[in-house]
Amino acid sequence: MKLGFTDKEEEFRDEVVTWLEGNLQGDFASLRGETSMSNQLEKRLEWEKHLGKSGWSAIGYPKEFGGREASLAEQVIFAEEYARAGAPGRIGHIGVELAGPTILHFGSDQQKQQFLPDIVAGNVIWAQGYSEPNAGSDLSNIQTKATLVDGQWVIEGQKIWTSMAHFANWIFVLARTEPGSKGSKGLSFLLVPIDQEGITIRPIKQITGDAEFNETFFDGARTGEENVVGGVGNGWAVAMGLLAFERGVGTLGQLMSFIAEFSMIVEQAKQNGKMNDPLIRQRIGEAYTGLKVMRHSALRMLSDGDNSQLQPAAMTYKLYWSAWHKNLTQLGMDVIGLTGEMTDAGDYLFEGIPQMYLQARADSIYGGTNQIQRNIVSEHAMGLPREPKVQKS
Amino acid sequence: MQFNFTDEQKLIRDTVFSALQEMGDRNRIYDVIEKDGYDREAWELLCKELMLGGTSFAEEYGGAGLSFVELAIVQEALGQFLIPTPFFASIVMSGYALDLCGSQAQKQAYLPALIAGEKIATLAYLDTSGHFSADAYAAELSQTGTLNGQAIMVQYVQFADQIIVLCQTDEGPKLVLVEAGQEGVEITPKTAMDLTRPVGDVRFENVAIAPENIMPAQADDIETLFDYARIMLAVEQMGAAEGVMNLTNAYAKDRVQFGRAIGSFQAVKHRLADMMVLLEAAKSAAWYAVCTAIEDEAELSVAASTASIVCARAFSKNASHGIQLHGGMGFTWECMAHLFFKRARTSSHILGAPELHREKLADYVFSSNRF
Repeated sequence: MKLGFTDKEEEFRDEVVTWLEGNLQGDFASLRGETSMSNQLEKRLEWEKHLGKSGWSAIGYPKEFGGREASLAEQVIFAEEYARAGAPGRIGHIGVELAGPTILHFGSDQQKQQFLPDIVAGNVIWAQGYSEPNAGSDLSNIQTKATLVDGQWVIEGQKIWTSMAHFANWIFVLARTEPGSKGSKGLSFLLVPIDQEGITIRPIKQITGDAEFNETFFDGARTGEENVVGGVGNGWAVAMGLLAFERGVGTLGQLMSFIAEFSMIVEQAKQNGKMNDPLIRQRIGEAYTGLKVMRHSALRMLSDGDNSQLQPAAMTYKLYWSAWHKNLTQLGMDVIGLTGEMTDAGDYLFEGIPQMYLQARADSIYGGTNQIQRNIVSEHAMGLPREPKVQKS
Repeated sequence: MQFNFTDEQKLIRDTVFSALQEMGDRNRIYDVIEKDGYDREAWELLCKELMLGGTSFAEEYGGAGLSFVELAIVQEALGQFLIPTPFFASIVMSGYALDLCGSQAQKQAYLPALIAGEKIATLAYLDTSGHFSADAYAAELSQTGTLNGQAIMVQYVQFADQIIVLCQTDEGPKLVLVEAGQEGVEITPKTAMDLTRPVGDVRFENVAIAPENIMPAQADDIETLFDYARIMLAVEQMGAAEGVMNLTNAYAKDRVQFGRAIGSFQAVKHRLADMMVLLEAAKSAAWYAVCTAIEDEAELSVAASTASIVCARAFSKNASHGIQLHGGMGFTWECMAHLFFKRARTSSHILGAPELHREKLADYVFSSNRF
């Protein structure tokens, strides 16, 4: 048992650092430290293409599709250094991290040839169409329907929380293709072009004042019969497989941004004298333990990298970090005081810690609420029985 | 990345855990605590048969020359199965007091017998205030070599052959070796709230300390000793946090109310999931600290404080949840939950309360620029 990375992995880190330093320059210099998903959109689309051209967009992919076949450890190192350099949030991440791996794993050769190079090159931006108004935590309760008409899928329904949809080119949609089917059966995983008449996108304003997410309406939207991944009726297995691709690659990158937030709060406490408040000091000490716990939880998860079964360290990670992060932003607000609760007149847009304080409310909701996470942990890691199904009378 | 057990470490872990699991049999543990709280059978097994006393000590003293990781595996198992032995007092605290702070001659004279389990030593360091603090000393050593003072909550002292005493001297803090039967040493066994850790008070009245029984170490070495001890205690707490979680998980599957296992109710299973979250955080903090002790001296104190806080919380909270989820049974003497609960209480304070460690970390954070 050892801490840290191997020498070879550290060499790779040096290569990443050098490239990022050399390329977050000139036109791209202004992207450093950009945290909002909606600012500098044009430049960020350019940045996606630049990453693709330089071979740094999807480093875990096979070489034939523009990847580097990077190991899990190397992908983690890349994410860590990417965040450390202050490089902008990846506008292409749904394509690179979700759509791409799903097509790689479940797609046909033809689909791989058609979609993967454009994902890697940053030419095509993807959105995700999973959740619906009545399929949130109960995701398999999908109502969106797709019917085969003259060699095309015709789609009717509504998706929600579709991030990026307002500038994405394609969306993957979990839809019911077997009429009358229920639950996880009879679903298919469809790839759908966004720019068409049958699709309407409406932004959802969030508690932060920003609108990163959308409602997406499908009213006779169409896609080719061949654009189903993993076979008709097999959508649930494909969707669940997609969730398994998230094996902690992003954990250390996320941790870098947590460290940056923690540092901001520490600096603020030094400046305004809150560092002398014993209760604040206790909470700073407590928050600091979380940074250490997360780093080493991530290293434990990644050291189990080849093990296909998700370990308890991975299953509990989201519950841990979401609680930690919400507490941290609360501590930040307590350090800043009431000046953090006002901003310049105009749009309702806060920055820095107050923005994070509001944003962090989503941490324990998206990607499976804490309540669902606890079901997963207790049922899958601890073997506790499921709640009995309600019998309809 | 290799932040997991090597194949050899897995093998050692399997051996240690299967041997100690048998020792952790409920009826055996209750027999021991109803008697005097010292599990001699487990002690024999640990030191004589499995020869684990010397796990991380050098071969010249009869040790196996393995690392802190293997020692931690033993501590984890002792915590998980709640086995009351002097391992922490005699092997970890006293063994490392000698190893880190003792002279060559002192190591040669005392370590082999401790490692073999033939003698038991313990560390007297808590003063009568009842609070661990970095600048409190249980005793004072005069220039003429007489030791006076009173130490409390000295683990296994009623069974000890030697007592290592942390004392104040004109040259700063020192550790001195005292024979339990030496003139002027008065041992008063106590009834401990924690039934799995026999303790006593010790009064030192004009105890004569020969120069060869004063350890040469300075304050820094003593601080390192306490950090090592904190890390090993944290590992034990992490193991115990798992022990009480397993006990409670089994009960939640077994106990039926309203026609179904109570573990199927979300109010119950979600609390069990929270126990798992606490445990996994404790594992990350504990193994990080163990590796730090091997690899990164500069981070030792930060790692030890982090592990102390995180593992104390995991054990304390899991033990409380354990009592609650056992319902009325959890309040009875016969349910093991209270043994964990009481041990958690004492463990979280004997080497510094969580408040002390959080303040240490805050001090570090506000005086450094990189996290």
